This record gives sequence, C-alpha cells and structure tokens, in this order.
Amino acid sequence: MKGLEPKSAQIGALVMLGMVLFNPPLLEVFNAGATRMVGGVPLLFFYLFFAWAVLIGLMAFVIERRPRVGGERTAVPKRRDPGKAD
Amino acid sequence: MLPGWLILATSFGYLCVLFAIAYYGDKRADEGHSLIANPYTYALSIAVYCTSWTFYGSVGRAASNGIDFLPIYLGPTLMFALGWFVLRKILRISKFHRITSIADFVSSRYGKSHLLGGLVTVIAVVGIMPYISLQLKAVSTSFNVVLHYPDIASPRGIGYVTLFGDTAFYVAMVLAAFAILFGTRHIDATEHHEGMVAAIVFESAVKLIAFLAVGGFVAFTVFDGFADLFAQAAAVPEVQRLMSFEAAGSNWVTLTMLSMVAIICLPRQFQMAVVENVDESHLNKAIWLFPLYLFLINLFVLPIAFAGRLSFLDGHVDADTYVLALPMAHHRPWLALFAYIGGLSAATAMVIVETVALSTMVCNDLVVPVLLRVPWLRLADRKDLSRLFLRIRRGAIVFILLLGYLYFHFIGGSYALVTIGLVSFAAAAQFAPAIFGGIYWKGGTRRGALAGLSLGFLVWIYTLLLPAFALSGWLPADFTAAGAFGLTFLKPYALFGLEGMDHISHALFWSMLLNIGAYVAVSLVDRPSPTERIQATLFVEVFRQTSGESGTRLWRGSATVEDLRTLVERFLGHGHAEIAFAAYARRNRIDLNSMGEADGDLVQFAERLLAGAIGAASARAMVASVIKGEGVSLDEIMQILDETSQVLEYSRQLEQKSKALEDATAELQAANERLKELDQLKDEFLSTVTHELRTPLTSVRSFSEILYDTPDLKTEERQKFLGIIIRESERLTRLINQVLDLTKIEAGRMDWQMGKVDLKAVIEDAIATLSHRFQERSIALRRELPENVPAVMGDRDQLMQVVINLLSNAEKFCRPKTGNVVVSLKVGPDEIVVSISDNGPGIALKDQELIFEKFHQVSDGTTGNPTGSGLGLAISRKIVEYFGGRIWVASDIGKGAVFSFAIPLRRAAAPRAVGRA
Repeated sequence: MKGLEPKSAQIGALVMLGMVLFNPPLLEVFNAGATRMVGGVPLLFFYLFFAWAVLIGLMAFVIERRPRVGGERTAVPKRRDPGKAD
Repeated sequence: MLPGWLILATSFGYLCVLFAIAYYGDKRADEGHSLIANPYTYALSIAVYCTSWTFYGSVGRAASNGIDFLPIYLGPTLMFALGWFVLRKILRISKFHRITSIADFVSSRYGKSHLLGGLVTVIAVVGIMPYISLQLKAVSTSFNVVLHYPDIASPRGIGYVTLFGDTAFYVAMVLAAFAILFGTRHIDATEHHEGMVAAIVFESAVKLIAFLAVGGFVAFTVFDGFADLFAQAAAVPEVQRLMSFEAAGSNWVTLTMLSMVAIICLPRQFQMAVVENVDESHLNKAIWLFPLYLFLINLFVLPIAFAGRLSFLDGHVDADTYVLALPMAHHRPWLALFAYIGGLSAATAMVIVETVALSTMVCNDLVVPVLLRVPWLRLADRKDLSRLFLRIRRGAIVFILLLGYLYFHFIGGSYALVTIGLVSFAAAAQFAPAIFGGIYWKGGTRRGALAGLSLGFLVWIYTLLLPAFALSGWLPADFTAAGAFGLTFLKPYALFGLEGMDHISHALFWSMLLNIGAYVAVSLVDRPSPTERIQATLFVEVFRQTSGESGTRLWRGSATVEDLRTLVERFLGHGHAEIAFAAYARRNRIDLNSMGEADGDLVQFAERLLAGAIGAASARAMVASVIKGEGVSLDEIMQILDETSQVLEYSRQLEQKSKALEDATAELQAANERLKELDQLKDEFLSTVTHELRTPLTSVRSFSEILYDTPDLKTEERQKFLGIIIRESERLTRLINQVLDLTKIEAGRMDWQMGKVDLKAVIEDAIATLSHRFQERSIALRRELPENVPAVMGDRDQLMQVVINLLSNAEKFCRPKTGNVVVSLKVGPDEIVVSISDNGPGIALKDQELIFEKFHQVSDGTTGNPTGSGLGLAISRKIVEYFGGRIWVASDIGKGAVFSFAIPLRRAAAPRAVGRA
C-alpha cells in the first residue's frame, strides 16, 4: 500500500475494522440472546448498533479532520487520487 | 375514522407537492441557483436506497428473523467507507467520459461496445422489474391497510382488485408523468435532473421522519422505553428467540457482500451517486452522512418488529404492515396516515429514479443503436434527432412502469417483500465483476465481460427467476422440486447437488463463480482490440490520464468543423449544440468559424458531447461516420497512451532527479573552489604576515645584539641604535594592530562606534596628527574644504584611520621639497567625496585595483623600501565599504595619484555588512 495518503490509509483501516466488527466470529461473542441486556437492550442488538455508530463517528472524524497546518501533510502537494495504490 | 377519499386526497396531494418541488428545483437550476449543489442533499439523494422494502420490509424480516435485516445496511456502510477509493474513481471516470448510466459505463469501459451496453440494459430491466413491482405492491397494500382502519385486516384477506380499481395503477401513471416531466427534460442525460433530485431529497427526509415518528411512538408511548419493550418480549419464548444471532439464519455474510455491491451496481444508485453528482468533493461528506441516515432509519426497526409481535400474538397481521398496523391498533389514525405517506415516499422515490435510469439505458443502449442500424429508417439523414430520442425515452418510462405494474398484478402476490428485493440485488450484483474489474484491472476485455455477464445472468434466471415463475404457477410446480426435465442435479435451489444454503446465497455462489470465472478466464486468453486497450487505460489510470490537459487525442483530424457541428446539432438540437461549441471556442480561445479542419481535440469534444446524449458506443459510431478516410491509427494512439502514462512519467521523474543532482553537483563544486581559494588566501596571508613581522624583528634583534656585545659603544651611536629599535618596535606594533583590525573586520567582530561624523573635522584632525611628518620632509599640504559639510553616519575613529592611511601614503610617495599633496572634500547629492592627490610617481593601471588587496605593495625603485605594512589600503577599503561607500584611485604613471573615497549621505542606518574575504 505504498503511496497512500495518511487519510486514505486510515479509511482503509476503518473498512477492515468494520468488516471484523460486523461479521460472525465477533458477533458470536456478543450473541447472548435474552440472557444479557445492556440498558434493557439485548446485548447483540446493543453491540451492533453501538459498533455501527462508532464506525460512522470514526469515519466522520477521519474525513472531516483538517490536516495539521505546517505539518508534514501540507508540505506535500495533495495528490488528486488519494485512493490509488498501484 | 379515515375515509377513502381522505387517503386518496392525501396521496395525490403529496404527489402534487413533489411536482411543485421538482418544478421549483428545475426553475432554480435554470436561474443558476442550484438547490442540490451541496453534500447534504447529495447524501440524502443517495438515500433512495431505502425503498418501501426498508420502510415496511425490514420490520417484516426482523419480526421473523431478528437481526437478519441489518446486513442490507451494514454492507453499504462499509462500501461507502470504501467509496473513498472506489466511488471517487467511478465518479472521476464518469465525469471525464460523460457517462449516462451503468450500461454506458460498462459499454464505454470495454471498447464502447454496443453489445455489452445492450446486455447490461436487458439484465437491468429484467432484474429490476420485480423490484419496481414490489414498490407498486407496497403502495397498493399499504393503501388497503390504511383504508380498512380501524379494522387491522391482513392484506391476504383483501380480495382481488380490478386494474382500474387499484391505487397502484394510478400511482404508477402519476409517477410516469413525473418521470417524463422531470427526468427527460434535456436530451443530454449527463445534465443533472435537479428538480427530480430535489424531490427525491424531500422524499428521503419525509420517510426518515415518518419512520422515526412511528418508532418513537411505539417505543415510548405504547411501551415504556426500550427496556420495557425488550423485557416484555423476553417473556414470550417465540419472540425471545429473535434476540439471538441464530434467528438470523446462515446468509449474514452473503447479504453483507450483496448489499455492498448493490449500493453501487443498482441502476438507481448509480444514477443518484454518480450521474446526478454535481461535485466530486460532495462524496467526502456523503461517506459518513449516508451511513448515518441508514443508522437512523434502522434504529427503530427492532422495537417496531418486537412490538408488533407482542401486539399481534395470534399472527393475523402481516409483519410487513406493522408500521401501519401498530398506530392503527392504538388508535392513532393521523400517525398511521403519516406512516403511509412515508411508505409512499419511499416507494415513489425508488420508482421515479429507477425508471429514469432504466429509460436512459433502454433508449441509449438498446433502441438507438438498433434504430441507427436499420437502413430503411434513414435516421442518419434526419435533421434533428433530439426530439425523437426524448420521445423514445418517454416511451421507455411508460413501458417500464406498465411492465412493472403488470408484473405486480399477475405474479407479485407470491412473494414476501424482502425476497423480491434480494432477487433484484442478485441481478445487479452481476455487474460487479465487469465494473470493479474494469476500473482496477487493465486486462479485462470485452469478450471476457460479455461471457461473465451472460453466464451470471443465465444462472440468475435459472436459480431465482424461474423458481419464482414456478411459484406463481407460470411453470409446472415440480420444476423447483424435481429440476428441469426431471433431472435432479438441475434442481434450481440445489444446483449440481449443492444443498444446505439459502436460495440467495446458493444463486449468488453459482452465478458469481461462473461470472467471475468466465470474465477472468476469457480476458486472459483474449486479445483486446486497440479501442478496448485505450479505454481500459483511460479507466484504470483515470487519475493520471485526466490530470493532464484535455487528455489524449483519440482522433486524428480529417473531419471539418461544419460536419461535426451538424452532427451534434442533429442529436442535441440546434440551441444546445450552438451553446456547447461557443463555450468550447471560448475556453480554448479559438475561432471555430475560421477553422476548416477540426483538430483531434475538437473531434473528441464532439464525441463526448454526443456520448452525454446517446451513450459512448453510439457516439463513437456517429463520429466515425463523419471522419473521412482512415481517421485514426489506433495502434499509434495506444502507443501515445502508454508513453504518456508510463515512459513519459518515468522520464519526467528521471529528468527532475538528474537536474536536481546536477544542481547539487554544481553547488558543491562552487563551494569547493571557494574553500580552496580561501585556503590559498589564508596561506598567502600567513606567509606575508610572518615575512612582514620578521623584517622589523630582525633589525630589532641585530641592533640589540650589537648593543649587548659592545658595552663600550659611544653614547651617540647607542642612542642612534636605540632609536632604530624603538622605531622598528613601533612598526611592529602598528603592523600587529592592523592585522588584528583586518581580521576583526573580516570576521565581523569589529566593535563599530556608530554615530554622526563631521568629515571636515576628521580631516582636520588627521592633518594635525601628520603635519610634523609633512614639515619634516617639506611637503606642501593644501586643503580645499567647503564651509558647511553635512554629517554622515559612521565610526569617527575608523574614518580618521582611513584619512590618515591615505595621507601618509601620499606623503610616503612624494619627493621631499617638491612634494605637493591636496586634500579636498566635495558634497554631492548622495554622497560626500574625499580626495587626496599627490604628485608622486603614480600607479600603473594594472596595479590600481591590486593595491587595495592585502599586502600588495607596488615595487618601485624610486622610493626604496616602503615603510608601509601593505595593509593600510585594504583596511581602508573594508571600513569604507562597511559604511556603504566606495574607495578608488585615479592615476597615470609619472603624474601622481588621486585616492578618493565616498561616504553616502542618506545611509543613516543599517550599515552593510562587509563582504567576507
């Protein structure tokens, strides 16, 4: 993945995080049926919506954050294709 | 009580609001004030993804399978995060090639192939048709449910309705009118349908608010919050079962992946996210805003589903209608009506966008290519084709909606809402290999895509569509159970004996296996045509190819400007073509009227204009028809493309690097030379200084030795020797002081006492100091000093040093008795010039600059060994230059010399640093 902007790398990491969070091996961990409730909500439901909200929050954070002024990031002219990693 | 007329009036009133919004949106767009040019409306427009399937079907699915509805929304969340890479690339490509639809995209990528565009269109129409009919069914069902208020009847109990007694039919007709009015305003399909998008944005907001209202009502009014709701649910064993992951069934991962693909490959999503996109940068916000929308609209699905199960324990109410039935059961007619409007907005938004997207595809990729090939129609000779094409598109809209309605009417009854949606998703997923392969793999070819798409589509028909027909009684019922022709290994739900999977996963596995397999395998053995290779390069390397000016020339000019203009006029209409060409001429600062032959850029421009209207494949064919002669050598273009993309890139980088290296080398060399020079200077300086020191030292030592060895020396003689020793020591001291001064100045460590200096007084003082020497040798000293001399900035002692140096120099070189020295001072506009002239031997021209160097002494026999150290002039120059002035000499051999220095008047501050030696 050479040549990726920091932001692109962060988003790529978030996609992978989402894949792990939303799929079975981890879902089984929180699969407690009605035996465990968080604030009155079944653990599985709570976990899925919580993880979803966190992921959306992280995406918003990564995308909306401005690059530090004067830092390394602004010193390099912005590539027009943040996603291309060939 | 909700009377039928009220529901009808509300429905059509709502649709009228949509018309008004769309009309206003278009009006604003025409005035240049876009309503939709911001990331928030963009994100909301993509929410057309949430159809009535979401609005009613999610609850239905949750009521029977628990959390199983969620992957349909988690997938798009992940895909939108990936959209940072994938969607951005598709957007860039589509803007560059003026892509009008998903069929156009695929066709354009694989060498602008008519066949491929047509195939994609057929798959889309056949695959999406059930989905459109699903929306109509939802409208019809929900209308009937609300109509029977307060009787919460199951729609299954409602008898057969006649065609003209069915609300869905009228709604379909109104939607057709809407799509025609606001979806086919321009022939150029890449122009944004702003009014339509504005209406969709409004609908997205309405359905979200409606669903949240119902959800909030159920969770907080009917029940006492989530805890109460889930606690009651946990007490009922069959409802409690839904809380575990096992209820969701085995296809969780399949559904996630399917919805990931669908969010891009569904024609309406492509239309909204790509074709209607106003600005690529809007994507950034949509990446998290759209998932946030999905999150919000799903927040109350589980509470509503559980509440429905608890409220209707005997199961006489269809779970798909819980959203309506719950407010009705708790006697909230207005909330039920609002929920119905929410469902209506979800359904109509999908139908509108889908029909507009499909009609563009049917027109551009199916009908037009055929019409242009039928010779007896003589379309190629018609003057203005834009009206004809608009009519074709409008006809296609009516055709698609009617087909969708008929499908619903005759076959749709056999399915639950969710299943129909997934069947359509699976059809759209067939585009994925061709699209994603197409933008990341240059090796994918037209034949590969054709093979993959056809095989995937056939498997889809066999494993999903035909069983649906069988269920509806259109095919023998044992088709599903026994397989085609009674061959058990051909059972559509267990193809080749693959059992134990749900129908969707099963169909997806086989169709994707054959689709991707054929795409890759055929592409690998295929030899693509030059056009394919060009398009592949342009798509895969879109960021590199579009960053340059106007991209690559794919045509070599042998068409006249007039031919091109006529061609474009025929398809876009006179006015549009005129505006577009004028804009092009303005942008490139050329006069098209005076240009006979069109250059490659203009031809390409015309092709892209046409592509926006009739699709890439037809546009290419049309432009080729007016290009005379050979036109293009594709191999040549390919070469250019490859060069621009790779070789040129590398060579450019190499050039930059080597240039940087050269610069660095030159700098190093210069620095090295300078160092060497400095070294040499230092050596010379040292040797001269030591030499100069040795001379007086030697004489001091020898005279001291004489005095030491001969104590009985005569007093007179001793005095004379001691006098020499004192003089030589003084000389030594002076020399050392001068060396110290010089090094101090050069190192910048001199302690300058800056202040206002009266040069006249300085000269008088210097003369006073030296006057006895002049008198000793009887040299005349005259001064020519004006009365008033303005002060200059400087160090008084140092300036005095300069004058003394120059005066003693003059004195030294003059002959006794006849010597004549004149000191003069002139006040100029900018500077004060002090000159000291003598009538000595003068200085040869070649020496005039050298004498200001360190230790340079003019060897001249007439004056014998000079008493100077050779440093006086060098120091003087450093001092004068420090104050921003200059020093120079004018002289001819035998006619004396004039030493002058000038000090600037206005240099009150910031004396210039003396240049390093």
